[in-house]
Amino acid sequence: MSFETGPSPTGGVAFPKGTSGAFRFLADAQESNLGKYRVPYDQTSAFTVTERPEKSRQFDSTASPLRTPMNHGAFRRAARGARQAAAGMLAACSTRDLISLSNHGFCLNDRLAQLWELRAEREGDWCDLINLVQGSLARIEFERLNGHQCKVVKTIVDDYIASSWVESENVRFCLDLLTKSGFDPFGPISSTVDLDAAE
Amino acid sequence: MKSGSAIFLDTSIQIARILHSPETKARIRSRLNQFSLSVTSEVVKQEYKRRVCAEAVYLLNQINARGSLQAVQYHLVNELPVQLGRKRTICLDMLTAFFGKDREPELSERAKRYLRTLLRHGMAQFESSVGHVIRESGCACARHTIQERVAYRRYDLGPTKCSQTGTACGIAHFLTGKREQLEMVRDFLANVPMTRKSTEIQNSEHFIEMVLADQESAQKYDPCTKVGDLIIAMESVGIPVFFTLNGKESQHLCRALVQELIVRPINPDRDDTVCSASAEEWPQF
Repeated sequence: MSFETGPSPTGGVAFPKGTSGAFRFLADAQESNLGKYRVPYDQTSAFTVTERPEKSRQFDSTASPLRTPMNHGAFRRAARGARQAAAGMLAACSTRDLISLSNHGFCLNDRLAQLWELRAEREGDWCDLINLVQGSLARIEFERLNGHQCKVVKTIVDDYIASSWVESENVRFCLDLLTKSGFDPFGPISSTVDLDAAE
Repeated sequence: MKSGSAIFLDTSIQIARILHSPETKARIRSRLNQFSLSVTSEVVKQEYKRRVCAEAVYLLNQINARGSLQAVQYHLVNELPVQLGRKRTICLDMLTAFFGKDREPELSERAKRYLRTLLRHGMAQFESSVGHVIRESGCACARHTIQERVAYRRYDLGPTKCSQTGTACGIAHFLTGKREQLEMVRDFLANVPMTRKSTEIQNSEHFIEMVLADQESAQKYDPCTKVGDLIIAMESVGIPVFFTLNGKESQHLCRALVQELIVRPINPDRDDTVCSASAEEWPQF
């Protein structure tokens, strides 16, 4: 079957050749009615992505995994970067190359910040986890990390932060792992100087 | 490390391990590294929940109501009495220092996520932070798990008083088995000058007399909230070292129960005060 472009106001709808005027009129009317609805395609038949409703974009939603292809790509890039940075930290630590260790540490922080920006697309537990990991790494001296701590960071980045789904139990496990390896995940809500330090 | 040695961690230490300054945390960590086993108890857990988790819910509600961390800080400074303000354990001032690039509403979001994480995983974290939790007391308040009814808004922390738990509370039964130790504490406190007894120690004396006369009366008195230090001291029996940030009550209770007392000053620059069980004199707290 061959097609021609019909003379509808939209100008982009394809009709089979020989379509009657009455049918064209009906098709035009339907096309105009479509404006009331959100359709997953436009008249050029190109796939477009619709915005998620505002409600589900709230940070406390338990929304499903990545939905937006553009953000999906950004997430994958940032996650890959985070994995490379964590692997770099471990490699640098094993050779005691402290400058490289620190550089990879700052790179990891940047990647985590990029991932945090994409949190609206992720489930709540993942957001809680990345918040904890960022807090744990925010003010540490990377040069002082030991091999075990680098391994813990790599495990958490590889197995949880870069993964497609994180559950409550995973957050608990990572929290335990961070605490037991000497990180301070609750540092950001702790006091810097204890209140009675001037006693 | 002292081979085969155990140390009992009081509520103040357990809170400090999570929410005090990095220097204090490091001090506590280095002390704990000297022991092969760290121990705590259910009543400590109950106190931890009552203080830390209740405060987390309070702060969540404040952030929800006021919309920004700055407004919450302003409210806390202006509305909470100074003494209550100083007793607060969770500090939100630090978020800005940690996440300097973030602005509102991100900072509030981070704070809420931290508080929620504390509520959802804090008790599990409490358990895994020690080698052993003594469950002999059968504290029903401690055994009630925190339930999230509405995320970031409504949490069921469970009962906070023994009298609210009906038959589930095991404190009265637990104290039945501690008659000998209660008598030791009573006899020791009888020789302590009244000027050196805090209100809680005086309440403890009264409570011991009451329990020794009628053990069933223990639960009605709500001992975990009124004489918590005494109940914790009973739970710690058998552990040779007691570690706390507050020596006011423990100095008497540990002395009576022949335990070593280690008091961690709040100022991280100061060293721990170690009171050996065999020492003639202990410093006063």
